Amino acid sequence: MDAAIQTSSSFWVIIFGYFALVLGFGSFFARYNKTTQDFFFSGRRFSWWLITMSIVATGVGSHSFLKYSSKAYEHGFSSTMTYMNDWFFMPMFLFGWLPIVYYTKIRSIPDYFQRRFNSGVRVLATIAILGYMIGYIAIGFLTMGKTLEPLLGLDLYTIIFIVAVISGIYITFGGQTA
Amino acid sequence: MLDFSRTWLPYLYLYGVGGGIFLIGMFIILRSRSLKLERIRHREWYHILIFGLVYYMGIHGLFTFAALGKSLFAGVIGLVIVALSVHLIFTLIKKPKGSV
Repeated sequence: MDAAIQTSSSFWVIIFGYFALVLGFGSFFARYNKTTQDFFFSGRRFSWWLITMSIVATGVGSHSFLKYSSKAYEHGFSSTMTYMNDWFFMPMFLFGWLPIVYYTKIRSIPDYFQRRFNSGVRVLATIAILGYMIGYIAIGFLTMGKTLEPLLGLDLYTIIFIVAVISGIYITFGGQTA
Repeated sequence: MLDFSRTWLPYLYLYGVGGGIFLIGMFIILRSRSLKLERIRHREWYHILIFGLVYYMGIHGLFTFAALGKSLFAGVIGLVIVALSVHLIFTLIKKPKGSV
C-alpha cells in the first residue's frame, strides 16, 4: 500500500464537514419515516425537480469519477459513449415504461412483474435485480475505497467496511427522504 | 494519436446502432398510440426527443472536430446547436391556447 497523500487541515475540515452535513440531514429527516410509503417514496410529497436530482445523484457515484476517467485516459473521446447512449432508450422510457409506473403506482420493478404475470415472476425478477445490485454496490464500494486509500492511508477493506457501515446506517434510518 | 478508430468509428457505431434503437422506440410508441401527435403536449415531447438525439450527435461531433483541430466545423456545429436550442425553448414557451 502506498503512503498516504499529504493533505492540508482545510481538506479534512471540508471532508468531515461534508459527511457531518449529509448524515445530519439524513438523521433530521429520518423522523418523518413512519410507514413503508414514507421510507421508499418519502410519502410522495416531493417536487419533480427534487426527485430528478435524487435520481441523478443515485446514478452518479464514486465509480463514475474513477471508471470514466480511467476509460477516457485509455480510449480517448470514444469513452463518452458510456453516457451518450442514454438518449436512445428515452422514447420507450417516456411513453412506454413511465406511464406504467405513474398510473399503476407500482412500488418496485418486482411489484410490476407480479401484477403483470404472477408471484413466481416477481421472485425471479427480485433475484435478477439483487444479482445486479450486488455487483453495482460492490464496484461502488471498491472505487470509494480506492479513492480514499491514498488519502487515509488505511487498508482498502477497512475503508470499505467503514463506508458500508456509515452508508447502511444512513440508508436504514433516512430512507428515500434522506 | 486520434485516428479513425478512436474518433469517428465510435461515433458511427454509437449513432448507427443507438440511432436504430432510438428509431425503433419512436416507431413503437407512435404505432401503439402511446405517443399521440394530435395532442399538443405529446407533440412537444416528440420534438424534445428528436432534439435530444440531434443535440447529443451535435455535441459529440463538435468535440470530436475540436479534438481533431478542425475548429471551423466545430464552430458551425456549435452555432447550429445553439440555434436549435433557442428555437426549441421559444417553441415550448409559446404554448397555443387550450393546449392539452
